[in-house]
Amino acid sequence: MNHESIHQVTISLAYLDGGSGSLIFQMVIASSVTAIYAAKTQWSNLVAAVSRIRNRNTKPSGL
Amino acid sequence: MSELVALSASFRDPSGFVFEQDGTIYRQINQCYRADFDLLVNSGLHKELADEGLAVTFNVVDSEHSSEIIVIQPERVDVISYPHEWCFSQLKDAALLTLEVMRRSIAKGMVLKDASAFNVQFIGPRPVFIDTLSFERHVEGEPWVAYKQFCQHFLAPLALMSLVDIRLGTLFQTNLDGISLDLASKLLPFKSKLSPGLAAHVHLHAKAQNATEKPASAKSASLSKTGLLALVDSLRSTISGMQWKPEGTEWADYYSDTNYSANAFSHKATVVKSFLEKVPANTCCDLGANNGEFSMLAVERGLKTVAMDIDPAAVESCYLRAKGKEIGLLMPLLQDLRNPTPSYGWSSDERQSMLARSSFDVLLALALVHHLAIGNNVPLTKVADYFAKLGSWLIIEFVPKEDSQVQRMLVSRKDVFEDYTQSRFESAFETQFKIVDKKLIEGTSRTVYLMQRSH
Repeated sequence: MNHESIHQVTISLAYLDGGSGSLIFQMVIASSVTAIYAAKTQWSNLVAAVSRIRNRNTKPSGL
Repeated sequence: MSELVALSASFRDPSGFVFEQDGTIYRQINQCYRADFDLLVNSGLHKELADEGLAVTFNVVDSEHSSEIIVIQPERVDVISYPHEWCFSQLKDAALLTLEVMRRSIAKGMVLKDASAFNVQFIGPRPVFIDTLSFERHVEGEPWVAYKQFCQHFLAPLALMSLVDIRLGTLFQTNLDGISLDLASKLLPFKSKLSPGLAAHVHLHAKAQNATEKPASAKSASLSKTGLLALVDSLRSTISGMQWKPEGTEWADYYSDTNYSANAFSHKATVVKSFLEKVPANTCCDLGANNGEFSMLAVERGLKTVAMDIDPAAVESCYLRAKGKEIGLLMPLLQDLRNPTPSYGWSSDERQSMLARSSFDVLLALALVHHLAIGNNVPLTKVADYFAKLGSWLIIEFVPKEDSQVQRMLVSRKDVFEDYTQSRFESAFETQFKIVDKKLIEGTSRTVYLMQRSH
């Protein structure tokens, strides 16, 4: 991203000045936390799926 | 509708403005925001947020006279409060609410275009998002423009309150757009750099702002939807982990350090309760409420009650109780009556003074007057004048000089308070109020009065 593209992003987004340093920095931070977030999401999905299966298995039949 | 005048705080966002007409608050939505407003409604995002109590509801009241402009009537917030008037957990809950609104917005193809703490208000102990114009369509790849604002409005003050001193929350009053990250980074202790969240979102973020002139690499230009969600999740984790335990401040242990016997305390509550029942009221403000013990009497009477106190620990304790027990009528606020919030911001009227925002049917001023008159040298007539501006009815306790609490205040200073007697107290307050009833609290020399404003 060069100066011109930073400027365009800022203008296109909102009336608020997000600060070009912040706009670039969050991309760096986001790339470093995305793996953790993806792992957390996968783990949550797995726990939810296991929980669903267990609930299905413990549900009394015929109801 | 004609001659619409925007409220003094509503001018920064060209998407629309808030105005008042015949005592009702409305919001005009301009043509430039129409597409985003339609997406907010049609995507189901607004309904989802409103149904779950995360955002204020609204009704569209005028959309036919013009195809370009629409007017909505938002749910009314009774008492407007500002972030520096919130205790630690109120600011933390407001931050978590903002992130939850952002997360749900992303799921519906939108983002928050601003993340100001002023976009959150409290209805009782419940934070609610009030700015309907803060949502816009998410453009894949674009960064979150409100990231810096979120860090300045929530993360920096919470970190300072939690890790340095709880009183640093008041910095928000003099820093209208939150605490600058370079200032927060300077003030925070070294151990904050060991927290991954604070190290990234405050310390490195502050440095990144100083390095704006450096060109960035082209491949870092895109922020995916997952990246955006990860950023929001990282902020949420950082804020969720912040703690502040109320202890060691002036009033935190007030009720365990009082000169009341259990019987006197109980009798005082009975007297206050009986006075509250005599008053035709819907709203109450407990001035110097401490942890809200006596505010609860007003709540039990069915009054919407604001519990104001100077001490962050007392307000924290009151808020956690109101939140934990879901006491919807109780709203705790941090307020120094010796120096109440003035009007401030642009043209000195962007944010209203505490007085301009406050009008109550009944005031409680229990065990308070001696702190103002003796602790702060305010003449009793001035105390009466100020209370008359705040409320129509007044339940007030007079604590005479012989009381051990007053004696304690006079230990280290000369007694220059010749006018501080019960008869002078009565005559001072009779300049503004009529004394309707008074009762001596059993086992003490203190008297509780019921007064009505005379004019």
